[in-house]
Amino acid sequence: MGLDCGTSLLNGMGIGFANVVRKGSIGAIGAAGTGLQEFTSQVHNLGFGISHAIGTGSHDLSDIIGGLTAFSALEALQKDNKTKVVTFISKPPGTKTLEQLLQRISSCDKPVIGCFLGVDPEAIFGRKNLIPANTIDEAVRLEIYTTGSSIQQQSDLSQDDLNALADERATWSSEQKNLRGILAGGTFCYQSQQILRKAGITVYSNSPLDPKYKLAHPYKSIRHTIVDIGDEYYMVGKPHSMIDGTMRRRRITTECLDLEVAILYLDFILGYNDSMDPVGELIEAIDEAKRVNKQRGWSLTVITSICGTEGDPQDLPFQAKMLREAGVLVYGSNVRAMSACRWLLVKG
Amino acid sequence: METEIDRLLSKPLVVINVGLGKFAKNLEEQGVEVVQVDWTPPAGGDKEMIDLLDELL
Repeated sequence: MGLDCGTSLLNGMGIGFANVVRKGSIGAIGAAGTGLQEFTSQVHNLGFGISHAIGTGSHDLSDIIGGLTAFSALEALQKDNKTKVVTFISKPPGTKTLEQLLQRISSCDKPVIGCFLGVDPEAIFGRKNLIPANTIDEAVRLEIYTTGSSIQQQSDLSQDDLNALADERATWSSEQKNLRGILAGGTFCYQSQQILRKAGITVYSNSPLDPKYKLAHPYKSIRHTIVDIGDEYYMVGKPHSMIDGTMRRRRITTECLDLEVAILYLDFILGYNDSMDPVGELIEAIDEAKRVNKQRGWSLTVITSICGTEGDPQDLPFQAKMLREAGVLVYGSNVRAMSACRWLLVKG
Repeated sequence: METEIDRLLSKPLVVINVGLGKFAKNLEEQGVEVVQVDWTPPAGGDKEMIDLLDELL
């Protein structure tokens, strides 16, 4: 594992930031660390298992590197007897490298699902042996269908979800209109932007899908902003936000000074080597943010997603309970949390 | 022909850890053989970060 590669699961052994998941027949290759964690956790949570999940580092599919690890990983999973289907989860890849990878996938003798964030699935539709997925959740669903099984995956918001969101929206002031996402997972930053962009919502970021929406200053949010607080810019000489919540606590406090902020979105990532109490590290800052808004006479909606399994050492049910008791809305994936944010911004 | 990556996937893992000791500890608890490299990241003179790194390391 090289620079910027944070996770792998080999033969059930979690290396780096990895979740406790059962063994199975689904193989995965991730040029997206938290994307790979989200994928493997969801596969486990739906009752299925992983043969190997090989992290490549998020820059591996850039045109400078050309997918060196990704091509080797595909070769290995193609030969591996335990692996029946393969999924790619990737942050935005280089155009030239993506084309070379698609050509290689066309000669793979196992089905391949491709979730290349930032790439329009229409642009790669119809490529031989590739099933394109818009999101990680969709990749999980397609992967399981491809193994010949069917699942009940909750992809849309339930009526209870919608009622809770409507209640939240009703308590906003007339000034409150903006979303601020402070994310530990870089993949979630991209996927969130992609989902909102599809709904016609412009989002600024330190890691934008479209360069014209790059924040002029990474510490200063404008309008709708989602930041990858794990980006090297913030993390030089500091522990990553998946290990320590100091940087996120500071940013939550700053965002709440802005009277136009209506929604605060936070991701929580569980698993080996992640903070042992990611919610506990931020809960006081969340409480304070909600209290300050209440004093002003309105409320701040806090949306969260948890990536992990009940086997992870952080105790997933307890982490979720702490959030719910603080009046926070909790979702089981980044995609579902973004569906909630989208509903609040577009329909609310 | 068997390649390096084939061997990696089919044989027991041996990991060299250049980083936080807890990364090695988690692997050992899963039964993986680990070699821990003696390494400490710089804190850049930031007192808060020095305290944090002391806690993490």
